[in-house]
Amino acid sequence: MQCKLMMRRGLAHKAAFIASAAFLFGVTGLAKDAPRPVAVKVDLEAARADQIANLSAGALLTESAKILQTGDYSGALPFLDAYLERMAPEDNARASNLKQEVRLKIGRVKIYMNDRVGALEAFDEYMANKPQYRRREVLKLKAINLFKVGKDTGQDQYFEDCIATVTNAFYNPPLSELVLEDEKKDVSIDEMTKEQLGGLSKRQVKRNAEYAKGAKKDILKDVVAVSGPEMDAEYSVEDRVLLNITKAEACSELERWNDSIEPYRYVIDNSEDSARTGYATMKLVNSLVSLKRYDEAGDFVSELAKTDARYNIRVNLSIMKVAAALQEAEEYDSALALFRMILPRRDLILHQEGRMNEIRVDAGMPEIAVEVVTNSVGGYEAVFGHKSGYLDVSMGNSSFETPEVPPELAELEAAVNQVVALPPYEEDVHYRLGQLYAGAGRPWEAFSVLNSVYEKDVYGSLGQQAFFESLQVLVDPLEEYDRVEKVAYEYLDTYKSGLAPRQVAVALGSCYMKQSKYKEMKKLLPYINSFEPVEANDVRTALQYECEVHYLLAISDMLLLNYQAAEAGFAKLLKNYPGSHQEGNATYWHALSLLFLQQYEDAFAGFETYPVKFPKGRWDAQCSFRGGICLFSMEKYDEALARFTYVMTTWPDRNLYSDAASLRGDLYGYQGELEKAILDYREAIRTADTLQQGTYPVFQMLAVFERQSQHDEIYKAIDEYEARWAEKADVAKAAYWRGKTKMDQGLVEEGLEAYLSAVVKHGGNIKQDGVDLIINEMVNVSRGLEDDESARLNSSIQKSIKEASNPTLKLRLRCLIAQIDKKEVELGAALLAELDNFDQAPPPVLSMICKASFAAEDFSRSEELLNIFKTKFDDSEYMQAAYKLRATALFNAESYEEAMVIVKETQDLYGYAYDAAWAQLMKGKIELKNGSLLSARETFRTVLDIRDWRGESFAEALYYLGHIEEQREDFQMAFKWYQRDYVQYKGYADGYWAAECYLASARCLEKMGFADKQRDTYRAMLFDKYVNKLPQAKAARNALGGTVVSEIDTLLASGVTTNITVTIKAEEAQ
Amino acid sequence: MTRMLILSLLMICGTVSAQESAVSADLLPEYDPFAEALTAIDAGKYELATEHIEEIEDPVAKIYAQSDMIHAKGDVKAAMEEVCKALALDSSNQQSLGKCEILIVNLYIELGMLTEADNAARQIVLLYGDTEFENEANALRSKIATMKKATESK
Repeated sequence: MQCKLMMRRGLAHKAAFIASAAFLFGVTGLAKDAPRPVAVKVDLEAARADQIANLSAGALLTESAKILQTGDYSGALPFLDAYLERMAPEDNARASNLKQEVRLKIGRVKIYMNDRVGALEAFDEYMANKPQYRRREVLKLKAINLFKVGKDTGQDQYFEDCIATVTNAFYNPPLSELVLEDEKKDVSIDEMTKEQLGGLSKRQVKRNAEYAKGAKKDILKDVVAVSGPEMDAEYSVEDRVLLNITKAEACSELERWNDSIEPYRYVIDNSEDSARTGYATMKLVNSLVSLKRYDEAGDFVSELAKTDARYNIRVNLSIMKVAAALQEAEEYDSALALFRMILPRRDLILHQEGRMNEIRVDAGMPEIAVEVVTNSVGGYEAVFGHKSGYLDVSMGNSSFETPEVPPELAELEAAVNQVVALPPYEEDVHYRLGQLYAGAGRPWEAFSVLNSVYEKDVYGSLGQQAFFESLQVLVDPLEEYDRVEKVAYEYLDTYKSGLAPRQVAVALGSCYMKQSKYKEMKKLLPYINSFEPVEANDVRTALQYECEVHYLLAISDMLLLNYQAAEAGFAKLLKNYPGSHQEGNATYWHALSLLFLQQYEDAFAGFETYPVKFPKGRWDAQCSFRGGICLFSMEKYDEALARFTYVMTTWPDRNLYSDAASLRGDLYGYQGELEKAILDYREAIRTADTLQQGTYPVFQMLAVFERQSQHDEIYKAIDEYEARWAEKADVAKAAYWRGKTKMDQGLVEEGLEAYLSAVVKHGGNIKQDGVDLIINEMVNVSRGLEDDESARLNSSIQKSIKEASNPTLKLRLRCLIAQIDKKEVELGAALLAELDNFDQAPPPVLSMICKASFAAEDFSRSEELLNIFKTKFDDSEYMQAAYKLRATALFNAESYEEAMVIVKETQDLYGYAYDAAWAQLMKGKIELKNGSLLSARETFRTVLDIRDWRGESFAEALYYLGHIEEQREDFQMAFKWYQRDYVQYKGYADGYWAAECYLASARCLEKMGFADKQRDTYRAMLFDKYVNKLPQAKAARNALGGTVVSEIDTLLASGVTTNITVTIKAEEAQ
Repeated sequence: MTRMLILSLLMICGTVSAQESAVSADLLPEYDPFAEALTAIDAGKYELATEHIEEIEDPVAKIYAQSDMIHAKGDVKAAMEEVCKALALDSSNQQSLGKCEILIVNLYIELGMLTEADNAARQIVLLYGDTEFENEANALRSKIATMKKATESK
């Protein structure tokens, strides 16, 4: 291997030199077989100095030509320099021309010597003098040389000069600007003056002219052929191609992309060299991409695809760069096309091997086989070994020992080395291809390519990244959810460490999100909790993915309306992943979850934090608006009003403008500024984007009109609403308002008729819950009807029932009649028996069935009923009856944990709503069953804090509070709770709780040793008309005995009422 | 494969000399497993097709034939998965690759993924300029556009 390395270093050096020489061969047309320079010995230099001093001017040129023939460029230079020095005083035309020729020659010789700066000086000197018969040649060489020096030094000025030189080269100045004023036409050698001979004899000049005719090498021809001046020929197409590519490349170096386009196009249109055309096309694409002219770039990509240019190594390398830029710019079509043109290293080298061998055979050289090997430091390198059959060695630099290496071959070898030196790129290209297929909307291709990258590199970072992205593609857009779940869980069950499992968890989370499987999301929790800590270098990325999973979990809770869990999730995320990519989103959602939990102050603080931390965040307007809702809810009306005004002024084009206008209208309405309220509602209606935005302010506005008795405005607003939203409109609710307005106008029967008509018209649609609102209103109105009016209404409904064929409508109408007749429980029981399934039953009917089941303590279909609500009417206000039925069923079955789940769901949905008290009570009872006395006590005490729950719920809560204290053997406290119950709430629940509390009080008094007070309590119970007929009274009767009971009965029969009050003092109790 | 086997057996048995076999082999059309596989697939002879597919050397062509067979059996999605594998290979065989890409477009159409089908067809036009595939892709794009219009009008 060491041997190979040494050979390779030699080759690289050699190749670099030959490449530069080859460049010159290509551009100057100079001798391709020029001999290579050799070292000049010091003693030889001294001898030459002596020689120069003794030679005539003509002899200096002749001697320089001889030396050049030997390939000793540096040896010839002193003779040429000496000639110029010697001839400096001569300014006649011929001598001047000869000096110019010598300057050109010096420039060329210096190029050969790789002294490009020196060459440029020679060309500059040429251009500073006249005549300039070789102007085109000089400018061409100068331009190319400037570019080379620019590349070598990295100094922009050389590229600037290069561009100027090419521009100058294409300019054709008049002849007068190029020649000397006294210059005459060429004369024959015999007629030349001494000055015209330029220091040579006529014989020498003639001999040189003859010699030049036979000279094979231009370099010699130019020096010795000092015949009469002749303007150099116009540039050939090949020259122009060369100059244009040089200019274009210089422009590219300076990133003057626009200036590079024309010269590249010239090359594409005129070059006969397909490799050069391909290269120029590629570079043109690069310029166009840099100018963001993607469509034009795409056209040239397509052109490029039709060529074999991709086999050109330089093109292949450029493709990678430009394709990456196109990918960055999300120009997927062009980027994809380019990436697909990139050849793997091995194919590229094999192709070049073929080309190299063609050249080698032509040059009489043995063929080679390129072998890519891994070197001692793990990198790649190329070894140019002979093909078997020529030499039995498989190493060595074939061209190094060969005396004449075709420059094209040297260039190819250098290019191959360049490719080999690149880090492996094939899998990266595949990975990017996968991404591009996804971006270009070709998901199956994306999956396949990404999956192949993964399969080749299962444990590598690229492979794992590809695996994650392949899962993402399977989720969206391929929707291969089952497959993702299977693969992902297999992976998560196996791997716990590193980045990949976290990524897979994110993919799985996205999978659930897409399917709205929010509950399933919880399955991820144990996995992410079991992940092993990541290594330091992966921490940042890994934490991002971990954070993403937590974010998805919290969002799922939000969507499941589990606001408490969501709040906790977002809070945890903000605490554990500070500065994460989701911090902004989590801040907003956290505040929103607090808002939904009615923790307005905390929510407000969160919404106010957001714009401070994320001044240009996406939720800025939302936070300001939601902050306004918090202020509204905190009853800070003036601040809320100012906030909504701010939102409307600051974000007039945002979607929430309409919502802000609606809420500001509400505030004005609340403050009694009805005209302003109406203006805002109208503004909200005008700017509404969604049905919800268009509906809410309409009905709010109707309520204002109703207060103002503006009946015509009501009808008009309804008409406009229905016209705008057509079939999407809440037509039933609109009909309800029409009927209600008629009522308000005193047109009761007309109003009822309108109601019934709306019910019949829309009641067949199970989803039209506005109909149920009308039915409720009809029930309310019916209560105040005269008998004859009531009979007419009943008759109309019965008629409609008979005529109805739609089962949903029939059920709704039956429900209406039952409610008017107060026979809901009976109808519910009937339907429970009658209906095999509840597919056609609208929410009120289902609710009625639930209530009937509850009354009958028939819980057999409780699960089915709740499921129907959850799947079909999850936002129905009637669902609560199903929750209650189901929770009670589970409680009775002693499935306390499941019952508690239902309770929590209910509370998340209904909070402290009037008819949701049962959930709080059940929660307390479950806690009691679980032996959590203190929690239960807190739960029941909470009931007493809710004003809306006064009544029966209070009665039950008081009983349980007493019960808890009795359990805790605090009989005095227990007695107090019990007593409060039967004193204040005996009129509720048919006296059930009061009766229970009488008995419990008596029990406590007995425990405290107050036997007489216990008897008083029993007596009070029997005197209490709310309870004395209840079964519980039997215990009191038994305790008091027949005589006392007879006395009480007699007294009660005579109309005596008592007010027996049992009081105990603290000291007595002790 | 089968034919080669028979010839080898005959040679071993001495029934025909090597020279004779060379002559008779010359007379036979060249064995093209790819074409044979496709013919067998068209005829619904999947077992035979599988034998021919095994003989296909070009990996891309092999994938194409595999996918064609899966498609013929009616599993469009599996056929899609199979044919897409061709794109993960570093193949410079434009002929085989072009066939695969056209098949991809057709499979997308069958899956009802018209936008994706059009994306793939558009790319073919970009990459296979001046070839039969460009023409096929353009024809498919017209078909897709018609289908899209029909879908939208519904």
